[in-house]
Amino acid sequence: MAPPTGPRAGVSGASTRGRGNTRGGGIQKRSAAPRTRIDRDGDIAMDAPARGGAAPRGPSRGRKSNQASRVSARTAQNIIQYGSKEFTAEPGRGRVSLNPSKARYAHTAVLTVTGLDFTDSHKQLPALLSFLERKASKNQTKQITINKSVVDGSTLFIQVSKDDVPNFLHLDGFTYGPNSAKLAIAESDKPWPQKKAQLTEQAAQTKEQLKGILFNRYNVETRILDLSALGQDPVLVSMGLFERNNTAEKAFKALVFISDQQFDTAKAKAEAIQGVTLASNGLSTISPVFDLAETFPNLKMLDLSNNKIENMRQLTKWRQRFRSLENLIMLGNPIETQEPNYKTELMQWFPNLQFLNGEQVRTAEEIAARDAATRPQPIPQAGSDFRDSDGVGENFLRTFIPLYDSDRSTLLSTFYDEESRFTLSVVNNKTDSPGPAWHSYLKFSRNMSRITVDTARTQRLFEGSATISNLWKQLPATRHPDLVDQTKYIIDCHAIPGIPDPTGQSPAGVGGLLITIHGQFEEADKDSGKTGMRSFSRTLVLGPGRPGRNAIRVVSDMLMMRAFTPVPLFAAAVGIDVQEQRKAMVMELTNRTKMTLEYSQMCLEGVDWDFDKALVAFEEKKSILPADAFIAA
Amino acid sequence: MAVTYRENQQKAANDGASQFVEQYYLCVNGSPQPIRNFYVSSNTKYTQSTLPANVDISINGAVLTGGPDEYEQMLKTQRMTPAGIEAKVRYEVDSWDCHILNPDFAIGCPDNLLQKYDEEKKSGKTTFSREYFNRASLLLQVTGTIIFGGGDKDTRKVFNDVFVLVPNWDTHVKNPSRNAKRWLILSQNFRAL
Repeated sequence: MAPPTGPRAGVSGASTRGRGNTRGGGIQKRSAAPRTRIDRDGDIAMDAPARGGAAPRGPSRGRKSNQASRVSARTAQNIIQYGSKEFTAEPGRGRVSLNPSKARYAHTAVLTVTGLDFTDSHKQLPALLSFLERKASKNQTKQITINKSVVDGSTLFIQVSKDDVPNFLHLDGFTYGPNSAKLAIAESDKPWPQKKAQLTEQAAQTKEQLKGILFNRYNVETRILDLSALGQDPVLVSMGLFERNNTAEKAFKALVFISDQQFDTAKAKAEAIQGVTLASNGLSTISPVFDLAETFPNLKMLDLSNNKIENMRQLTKWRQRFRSLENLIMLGNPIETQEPNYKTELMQWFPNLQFLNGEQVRTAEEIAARDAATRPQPIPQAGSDFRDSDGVGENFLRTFIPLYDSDRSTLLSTFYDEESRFTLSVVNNKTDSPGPAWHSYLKFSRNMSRITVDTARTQRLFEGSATISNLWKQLPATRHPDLVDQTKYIIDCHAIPGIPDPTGQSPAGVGGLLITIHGQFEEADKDSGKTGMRSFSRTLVLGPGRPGRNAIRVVSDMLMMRAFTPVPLFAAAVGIDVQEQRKAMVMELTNRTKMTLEYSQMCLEGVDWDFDKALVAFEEKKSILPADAFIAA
Repeated sequence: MAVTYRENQQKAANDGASQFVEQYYLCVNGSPQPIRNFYVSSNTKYTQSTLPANVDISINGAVLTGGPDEYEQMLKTQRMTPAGIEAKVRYEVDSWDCHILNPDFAIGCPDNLLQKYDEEKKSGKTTFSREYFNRASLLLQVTGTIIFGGGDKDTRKVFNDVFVLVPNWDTHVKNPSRNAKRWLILSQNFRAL
């Protein structure tokens, strides 16, 4: 672990370090002494605060000549490095490697030193730090060191080993310096100051200027960011950013980075910036502006007109990028004459390209057809497969669905007996799915791909109406749409043999009915009172009832719930059946409300043929309806 | 505590259903095994039964008169893209649940087996022959995701598959065929949602 003697090549923090390390000189000096101050360099995380205090020091280190002309370039660089290297200040970017992990700081503590004037911190700091280290180490067997330090306003933050904290706190109240200033040292309750606040005034000013430029160049309506003719931008020119090529490239990167910063999510970004114009920038290759593909991968429009691009090679870097690009403008580039075939090639590069130089090269339909041709063809949907036997299924459902919402105990006493079984399972237990939370169901869920222990599987099987009743009381209240609204249900049913005969007369069993209901219901959460939709598939097996009981019994009732998605509409149901269904709805509404058919139709039309809403609307308005709205008794 | 009769029944049913779910969707996803092996129509005990036990397959609301072979053909057609290339269509099970419908299912059961199980049941013994609990008919509901491969983005759809499974009596003999399924599909009700 030799002490570093200079910037290390290849370390990502190196470029920032050589220039700006607060105590770069100090390290050099101390390296001569046999002290084990190590591991400072090459440590990206530690780099951060060091540079924070660094920027203002630059000019004082013998670079006074040439200073003025380089200021703007330097600040631009600062911003760029701020953008490209440091992500600790911005959580959630996924560059964890650059974030100091918590574990690393588990044995360190942050102290604050106040009471001094730090306006010239770059001059005082080395002396002050060595003073602190010297005093803290007094009468100690080992040399105590300060890991890192940064000045934030009138406070000096130092990071030290946890074990050394008392030694430093001991220095609280010491006097220091020619003015005999009294030092106040305390444990910091604030986190290590982030670099965001550490942008130098100039850098911050530059950033604001660039932001202003971006703001002016963004078209809210077209959602296009105009980065054309940057070299002629009066503000950019006055900032001196386009005097040389390398600063121009960096300024561009800074612009792109700052635009990127304005969005919290990739989705918001893709939504807000759909196109970028890079026209008239004198680009002979896209290399300097390559970053655009990284920052805005979902661009739909890109304008490269009036540049100096000569051939496809100058564009290669973007070949696998911009997969959603729909509109590309290459007019005014030498490539038009030098590589006349470039259009065909660009069409292959960008599979969703529809317009090239303003000419339509593909239609959206062509793209959709091409994509569809590579997709499998799902088995088509037919209508309900309702093979009822003598209306048993239909009559059962007409009672079952409303009663499950309104009166579960009557439902149980009617159709369920000591041997009826009920289970429920939660299928899509994703926390990010919208809709009410699943917690009221989860402890009863018998999703056996998750519940694999036999005892748990047995516990979650509810057998007998008493047990089921107990469970149903704990489940949230539900509201199913009315059965007449066929767009909200798919119900299949057919007979099955071999159901146990409750009379015991037929050992081979008797015939039963298997019903599968796919639909939706609205649920009110017991605690919060919030309502939300769920989708469900519920399978019921019906059999003949015991002698002296209801003629029909539920053998099995299996409820599967998942996040809400409307049931699919089958092709045959759209069109022809709509009229039929509307007629049925009108009839049903008339049956229930005793309104005339005309009024029922008007009511349903008013609520866009949603039967449930029609019932609600009727309840609201029935008192004000004229007498002739009702069928004469 | 000794395992109760009911627990034995449940375990046999759950294990059988679990094995079925695993094997069946492998086949649906395109394994070379013909799908008809999973249905009662492949079993002479059921096809020649005096009591009617015909396979009933309803796929997205369409009743398949062609039986399991028609379903296999439909699955194949589904995998075919309009461009004529076979794409991947994967059925992934997210959830399944199973009830015993009839613990003493008898249709298609040979008389000697019926007699044997009946005697066992009445004997009051606490240990039972190996296949004793594998003679129930089961209700099985499976929910999962169909992933239609191809293109930039895979399309996903929820599916719900309801089965009535009945015992394969051929596995209730000594040294049954190794590939025989313990339960066979009597009724299937599939819906893509």
